[in-house]
Amino acid sequence: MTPEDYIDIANQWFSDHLPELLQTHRGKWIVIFGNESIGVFDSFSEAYRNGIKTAKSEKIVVREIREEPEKPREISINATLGIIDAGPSISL
Amino acid sequence: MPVPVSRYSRQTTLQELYLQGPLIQVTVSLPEEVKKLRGRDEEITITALIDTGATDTCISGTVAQKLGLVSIERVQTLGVHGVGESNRYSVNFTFTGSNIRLNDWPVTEFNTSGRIDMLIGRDVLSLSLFVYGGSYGAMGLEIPGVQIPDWVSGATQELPSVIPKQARAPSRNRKERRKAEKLARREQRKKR
Repeated sequence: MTPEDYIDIANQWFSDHLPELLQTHRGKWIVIFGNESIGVFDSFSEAYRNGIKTAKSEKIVVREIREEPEKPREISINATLGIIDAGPSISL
Repeated sequence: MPVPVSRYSRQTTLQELYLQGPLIQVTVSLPEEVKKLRGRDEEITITALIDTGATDTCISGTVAQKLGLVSIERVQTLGVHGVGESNRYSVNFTFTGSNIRLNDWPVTEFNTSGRIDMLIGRDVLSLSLFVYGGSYGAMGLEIPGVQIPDWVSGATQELPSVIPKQARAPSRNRKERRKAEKLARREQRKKR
């Protein structure tokens, strides 16, 4: 599996099961490893910790159970362009 | 019962905040379960910008690569090049010189051409009291324990206030202010 493959496989599984997951576990966090669910948890951290422990692999996918598509996450334009660093350097 | 509070504060200047924004040093490390799995720890200290323009806390691709992070999700992001896809990771991080420690925190990858390798986004800021006090000569962040989700841990011991006492705003009373300035000058002369 390439780095992207395991995410694609997990995302496909998530999309296929989303309607039933929304009915039973809306707002919770699911861990997917390969083509199966490891479990549903109340928080991201709980899901992540248990996911790594159970899968014994870092190639897990952690998703919040909610409708897709969600709004894109904003990333600071100034930091991306390096504009913030344009002024004279000041050491911390 | 006192509410546990995690605090970060440091002295700064109006010029620094104007030119560079609220910058802090952050140490990013691997989550505990990953450390156990790999049998080793990795950590890196980087410069972060407190950024109300970022939805999530972000780390640069360079940092993700250096720590050998493995993606847990891909999300849509809106940046300078429009909408794209970015990896998400889980990391632990601490604000250098403070008791603010966030564990298993989800972060989004971003590309940067500057020296800022991390953006502290609204996911952290929405839990915090943030002081952006250029004219007060200080900046700080305070996270009250009562609102901290389970992936945040912080010490509970009493720490200095977010704004250092010496950096607080001068009195509005002109006489008092002049007196304080005179005293400050005298102190400076003594130091020299």
